[in-house]
Amino acid sequence: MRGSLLVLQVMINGLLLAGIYGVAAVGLNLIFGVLRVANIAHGDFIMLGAFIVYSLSTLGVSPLIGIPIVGGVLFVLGLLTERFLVEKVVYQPMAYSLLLLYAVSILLRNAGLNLWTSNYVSLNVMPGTLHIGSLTISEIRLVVFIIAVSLTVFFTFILNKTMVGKTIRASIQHPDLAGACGIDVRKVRALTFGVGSLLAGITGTFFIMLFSVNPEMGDMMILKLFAIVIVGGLGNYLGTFVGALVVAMAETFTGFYATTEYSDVAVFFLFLLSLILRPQGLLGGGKTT
Amino acid sequence: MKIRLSLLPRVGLFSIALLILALVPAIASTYIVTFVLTLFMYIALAYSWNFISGYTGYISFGQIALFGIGSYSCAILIFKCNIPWFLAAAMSSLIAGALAIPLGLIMLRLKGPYFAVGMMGLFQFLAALAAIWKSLTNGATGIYLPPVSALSYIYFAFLGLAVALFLATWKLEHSVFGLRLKTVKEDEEGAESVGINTTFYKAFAFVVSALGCGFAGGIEVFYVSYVDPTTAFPAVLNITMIIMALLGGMGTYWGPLIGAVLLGQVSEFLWAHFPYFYLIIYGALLAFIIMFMPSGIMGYFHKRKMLKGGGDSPLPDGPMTLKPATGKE
Repeated sequence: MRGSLLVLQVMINGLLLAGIYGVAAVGLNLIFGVLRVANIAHGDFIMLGAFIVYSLSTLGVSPLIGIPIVGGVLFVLGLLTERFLVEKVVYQPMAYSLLLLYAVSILLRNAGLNLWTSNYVSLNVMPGTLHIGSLTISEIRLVVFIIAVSLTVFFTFILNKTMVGKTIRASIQHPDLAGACGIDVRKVRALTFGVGSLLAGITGTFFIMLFSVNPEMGDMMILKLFAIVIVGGLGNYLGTFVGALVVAMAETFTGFYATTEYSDVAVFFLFLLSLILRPQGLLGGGKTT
Repeated sequence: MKIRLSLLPRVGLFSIALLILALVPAIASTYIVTFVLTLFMYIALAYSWNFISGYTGYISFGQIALFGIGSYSCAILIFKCNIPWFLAAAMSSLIAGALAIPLGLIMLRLKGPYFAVGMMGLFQFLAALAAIWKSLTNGATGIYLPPVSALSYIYFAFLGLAVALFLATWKLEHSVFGLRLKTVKEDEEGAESVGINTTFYKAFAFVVSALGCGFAGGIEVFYVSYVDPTTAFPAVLNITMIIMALLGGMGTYWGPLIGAVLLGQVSEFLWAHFPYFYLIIYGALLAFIIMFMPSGIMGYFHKRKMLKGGGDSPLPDGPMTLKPATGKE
């Protein structure tokens, strides 16, 4: 009985983690959908979110107030990155945007290393735990999970039910036709990149509250996010959550039965395997709603 | 202004340059020799990256994975089998090349961002694997090797490698084989439809790149006489080789050389003056190159007709088809 309880415990942890990964992966997927650009720098936007909230907390701002601030800052940063950098290469072959975002990633990561050094830091918010029977759930993980899920539900709502969402979906499905219908595709692109960066930044704040991180976290994150997006199918919004679940479970289970070193290797292995076996995603790609 | 050289003076110039370079360790100070040999390593790596990404257009963000394979093979061969270092470095090049055949066939099925990120993943995967496979790699403790007896051996090894890769690229540029390789970048489906076996050409470029990277890794590991997961898979070098090839001009045979020589100097200067900012500057430089001179220095000269030759764009041109990359293409 004890064994199965433990497995349940690990599964709960995996589920909570998946909720967080889901937010960042949706951002990555949205950017890819609208801009057809694989945002290599997404992990570094996450890092930036984490460290801005960390700096704010050293100034005495509570992390929960820090989250919306980070969201705002990252939204503007994403907007600017799109308008001044990515926009210039968006109609060029993939190699341009890939290398450009790689440059952004190098810039952000090393700026992060300069500002915050390579030491691992974390924020200790709400150290308490909840006990349900013999299961334990840390309070902060639960809170973060709830925020993550509500954020995702909120964005799903916006994407599916509002006019802004409609323009975004139209731009995903057929950018030329959307432009012909009077949608300012340029604006939609900038907006999408901003929203994607916002989601990345908020994911970062979750991470620093749950784990110890350093400015090089983007390296690991981007591969996990690509694994998630690839398992779910690039451009497939719902598949992203399945992907998040698969990757988070693989990570928590190997972390539990072996060590974290092995969980990294397991995630990379999953990533390479999913790339090689089903580059179109487990659920197939293309469906964006 | 066109620079025209017939073959004979070209060979002459090349031999004189080689002779001068060969004399460096005999006359120059240790500092200069160290600097120049590092430059040769940069040149070799830039050419290796250029081979796969410059000519086929498959952007690799993890070619350093093969450098790491070379480093570890060489260290293990020296440490466990007591093989003399130069032989070990040559063997590690072959090991990296041999491993590149299955790796290349698998990875090159991926296209565009999938390949780029896939190579990044491969690089991280191998680094993580090296950290946990303790029986073979000694994990994070690393493997210590006997110190280098004479710097000039390392110098000549790197010089030889750089020259070999330069000549290979030159040969490629002037052969039908190279033309076929370039078709992969221009239009892979079109190339296939006229009967070019693109898989073979891509895999070939990948293997040559692996041979270069593996050899460089093997020499470097003997030079620093130590290997652990971070020195075998150096992220900074991974960035540097890409920026060097791009600065000079991707997919040209002078490009990587020019990029490496220029950026080698700049690196040295930045290290000395802005040790903390130098990767930030690299990031900004990379962004600048992509935005304003995507075909690098060579492309800049070609565009202004200052050099003979076609001056084809190092990065594939033409409007991008706004089609979702489903991986099935």
